Amino acid sequence: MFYRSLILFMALLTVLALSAPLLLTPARADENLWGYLYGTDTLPKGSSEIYNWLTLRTGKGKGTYRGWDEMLELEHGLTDRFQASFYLKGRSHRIAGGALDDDPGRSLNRSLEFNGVNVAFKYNLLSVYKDLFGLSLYLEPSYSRIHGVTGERMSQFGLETKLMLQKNFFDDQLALAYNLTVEPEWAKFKASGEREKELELEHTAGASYRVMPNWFLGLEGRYHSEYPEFKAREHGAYFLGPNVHYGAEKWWFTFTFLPQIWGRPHIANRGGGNLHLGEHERYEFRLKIAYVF
Amino acid sequence: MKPLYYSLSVPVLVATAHGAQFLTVDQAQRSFFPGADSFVEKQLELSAAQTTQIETRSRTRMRLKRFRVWEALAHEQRMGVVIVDEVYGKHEFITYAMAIDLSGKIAGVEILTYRESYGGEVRRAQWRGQFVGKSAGDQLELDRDIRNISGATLSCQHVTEGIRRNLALYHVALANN
Repeated sequence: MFYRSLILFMALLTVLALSAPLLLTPARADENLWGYLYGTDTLPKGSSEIYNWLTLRTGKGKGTYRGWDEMLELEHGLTDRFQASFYLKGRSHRIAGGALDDDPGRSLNRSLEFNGVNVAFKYNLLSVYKDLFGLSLYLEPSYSRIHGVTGERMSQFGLETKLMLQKNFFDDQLALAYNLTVEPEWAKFKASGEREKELELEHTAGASYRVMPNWFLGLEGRYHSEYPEFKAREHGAYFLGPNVHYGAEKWWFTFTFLPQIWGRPHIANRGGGNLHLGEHERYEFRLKIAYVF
Repeated sequence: MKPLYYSLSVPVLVATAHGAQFLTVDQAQRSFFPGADSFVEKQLELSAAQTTQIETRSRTRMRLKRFRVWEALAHEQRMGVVIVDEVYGKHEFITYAMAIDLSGKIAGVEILTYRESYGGEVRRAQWRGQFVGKSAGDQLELDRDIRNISGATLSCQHVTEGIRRNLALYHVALANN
C-alpha cells in the first residue's frame, strides 16, 4: 500500500510538473540558501546560472573513506515559473583499510572521472512572496556510471521527484522550507552484470536567516531512507547541520556541513553507535558556487 | 587527488560590482518638485504609539523608527514632502524615494540604488508610474491595484509595502505638521 501511494504521488508530481503551465504567480531566482534543501524560487525567464557543486562524504568508522561528488550545473529560466537544468557529474573515491563493510577487501584510489548527466525541471506553482506559502514541483531524470558508495562501474537510471514548500517571515528575512523527495533507481553493475532497483525516500527541512546584508546563516536536516527492490526499508539515516550562504549581484556561494546524527541499522565494530555507516558516511560537506548571467 | 584542481567546472568566482546608484536624493527631489526652490530636511523620530498606528494602517512591519524626510518649498510655501526609505531586497537594501503632495497623493517614486541579481525592472517608469495619484485610501496591494512584474516579485512586493507604509507615515506623523 505504501509503495502504491508513493508511485501515485510520483505520478501526480510528474503530471503536475509537465502540465501546469497555467497557474498563478512567478517567482524570482533559484539561489540556493541551503546545500541539500531546495527553496521554491525559479529563475526569471531568459536568465541563467552556472553552479559548481562539490560534496565530500567521509568517515566509515574504519579505514579510510573519501567520496567526492562534483557537479557542474547550468540552469536557465524558460518562463518566469519554469526552469530547466543540465548537470555534468564527476566522482572520485579513496577507499582503503576495510572501510566498506560489505566488501572489506576493496581498495580504490580513483581520481575524478565523468559520472554521467542529469536534467531537471522545476515548476513554481505558488510564490512565497505573494501567496500564503511557496510551492514548487521538481523532476530530475539522471544517468550515473559510478556507484556512490563503492565506486563500482555501473549504469544507473534515476527519476527524482520532489515537492517543495517554503514559507518566509519578517519581510523575507527568515525562510523555512521543506522538501519531500521520492526517487526510484534502476542499476546494472558492469563487473558482475547484477541488476538492482531501489526506491529512495527523503525528507529535508531547514531554516535560513539573513543576519546582515548578503549573509545568511541556516540549519538544515535530512532524513534519507532506501527500499531495495521497492520493498522493505533497508536503512535510514538522519543528518543535521549548519550552513552559510553569501549572495551578491552576480554570484553566490553556500557551504553546508551535514554530519549524520542517527542511522539504522548500526554496523558492529565501527564506532558511532547510533549511526549507519554502511550506505552513508559520518560527515558530509557541500560547497556550491554559482555565477549569475 | 585534488578534486578542485581537476574540476569539471569553469571558474565561477566572478565578483563584479554591477549595483548602481541611479539617482541621488537631490536629483530625485528635483524630479518630483521641479518648481521647488529649496528642500528642508527633517529628522523624523516616531513614538511607539505612532509606530503602532502606522503598522496597523499599512498592514506592514516597521523596521525603523527614524526617517529622512524633506519638505519641498517654493517661495517658503510647502509643496509636499519627499521620503527616502529602504526595503529588503534579496541580498541588500533597495533605496527609493517617494514624494507626497499636499493632498496626500503620491507625486512620484524613484529607485535610487538597486544591487540585486534580478528584479531591477522595478526601476521601469511604467511600473513606478502606477503609484502616482494614489493615496492612503487606496489598497496598494500587489496584483490588485498594483501590477506585479514577472521575475521581480520580491522587489515589487517590498517596494509596494514600503510605499504603503510611507503613506501611513505621512498621515500619522507629517500631514498636520
